[in-house]
Amino acid sequence: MGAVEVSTWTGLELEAVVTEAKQYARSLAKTDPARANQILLRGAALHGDIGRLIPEDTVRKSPTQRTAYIVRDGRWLGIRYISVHWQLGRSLLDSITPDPATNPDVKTWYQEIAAHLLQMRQFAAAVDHFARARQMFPSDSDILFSSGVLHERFGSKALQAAVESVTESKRESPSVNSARAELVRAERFFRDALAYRPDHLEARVRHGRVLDDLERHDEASEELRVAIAGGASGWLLYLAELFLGRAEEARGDHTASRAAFQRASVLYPNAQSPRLALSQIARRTGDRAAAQRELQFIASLPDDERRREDPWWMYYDVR
Amino acid sequence: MDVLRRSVIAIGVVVALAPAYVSARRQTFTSRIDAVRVDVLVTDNGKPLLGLAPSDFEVLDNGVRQRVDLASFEQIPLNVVLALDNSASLQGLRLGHLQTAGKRVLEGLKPGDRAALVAFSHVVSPSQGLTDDLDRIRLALDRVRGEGLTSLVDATHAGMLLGESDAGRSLLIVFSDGVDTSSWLTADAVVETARRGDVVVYGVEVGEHRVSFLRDLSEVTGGRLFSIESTKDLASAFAGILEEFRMRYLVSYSPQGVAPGGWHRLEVRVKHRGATVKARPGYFAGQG
Repeated sequence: MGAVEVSTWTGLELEAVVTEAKQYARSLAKTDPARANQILLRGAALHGDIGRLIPEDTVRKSPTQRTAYIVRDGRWLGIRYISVHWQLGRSLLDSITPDPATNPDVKTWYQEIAAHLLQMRQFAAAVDHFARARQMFPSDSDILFSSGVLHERFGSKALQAAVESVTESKRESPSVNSARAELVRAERFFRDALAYRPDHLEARVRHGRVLDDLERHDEASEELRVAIAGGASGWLLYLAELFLGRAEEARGDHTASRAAFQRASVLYPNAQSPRLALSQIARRTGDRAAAQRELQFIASLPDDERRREDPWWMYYDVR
Repeated sequence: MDVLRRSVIAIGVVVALAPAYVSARRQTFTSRIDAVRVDVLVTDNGKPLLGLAPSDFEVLDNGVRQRVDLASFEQIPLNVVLALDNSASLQGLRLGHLQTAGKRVLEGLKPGDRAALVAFSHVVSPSQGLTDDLDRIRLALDRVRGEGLTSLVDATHAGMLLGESDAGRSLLIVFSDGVDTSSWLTADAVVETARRGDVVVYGVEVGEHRVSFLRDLSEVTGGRLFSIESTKDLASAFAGILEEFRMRYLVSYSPQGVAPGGWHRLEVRVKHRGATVKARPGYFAGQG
């Protein structure tokens, strides 16, 4: 049975087959639990593949299927329905014996699907997936980190604007909280991820940024400095310096702020964000000439976006 | 640049003592605010009210009445900066409307006026300063492509810096059809910068999206926000803005009886019943 063939079934047909598979596995588990688990894992893998192939449905396949809003550049574009296959995969894995939470293959399935949903920006599907993943693996740093990324994204300007756009259109409210509430959740997930894995540098950088957004500037500065001292490099170091510059600016230390933005601009010489930040500080402190110099530098950058790489533009995307 | 000069240049609204001066470079200031200039729009029943003299204006700086030295318009060259959203939502016909609108503004400029362009998606592309070579700006407009996210706040900051010139009066027209999704700078910081400059911002938004950033910015700079239904209306909106801006008075006075630093609350009135006055609500003197 191929993934494409199964993808054409209705939600009720799919649920019936999954129920039957679970009943069969339960019966088989009495005599051959390993074989029963293998069947359930294969079923979950199949549904995972279908979810990857067809992540959303244009028509509702099942009464329980949840809505996903398609947005671009902060603007609501249309409605889709979250693929039922993610939920069906999870349902199959719930029947793994003796306890799915102790099965390494189950954990791998959750982690891989979590990474895929974030990479493909399937945020609506990610909410339920991550919630279940956290129930099963509450101390898994990768799942906690991914949850932090998801809620940080929900707190972003682009997502908040999209939510507003959906609400303005008099459709149902998407299940995204206020920016602050989402950032509070993200902060908690990053903090927990770091508690289990203190050397997770990206979690630390993101934690620092979220703390700064929550106006906890001193803690943000400290966290970002730890990440920098801990060996952040490349794009992650650039972002850490950029966020540190902002945190120091908020703390009123223009010298430290300027130094951090300058270090960021050395790492990515054609990036506009640190230059804009430096020009803004210069303008604010009355140094109009320095502000103009930074602006002229931006004006001299190539038109071709590919030669103007700025990791800030990709910050909300998982690498 | 010495400390003294720096502290004075940080003042948002600065010196203009006589029309002849305005087209020249700004002088080096001494230890006090020599003069403050404020761009003022006076309308009566929605139409610009012309022919007013300095004595027709009443200016209160932090509540203290000031003597107006000058109230003029027309003869002062303009610096017009266009900050135009060319994110992915601006493609095809809509992009064409935007390019036409930009060119309409350029057609309306007079000898001595200068222009600059900041095209933006998530990438902010400012032109190399203000220029009277308008063909350069036209070519830059033709090269604009609709793609990417929207860095409205970053682009507005760049536009304000471009507009800050030693000569002329500066108008920044900011157009966006959506919300900011990718700026590094924060809206609050850029609005704060706007308080420290003398660029007047006119915002233009299209469709159902209301952009509070543009509203705030227009308000603090004494400009206006236009909400239009369709990009088809852009050219007339842009032309109307330029026309209105030319009808604004440049009112200047030498502050008396007020502390030199900090935020100065401004109230500008005219002695004409029924007239509506639009000017920036204040200016910021000094650093901080």
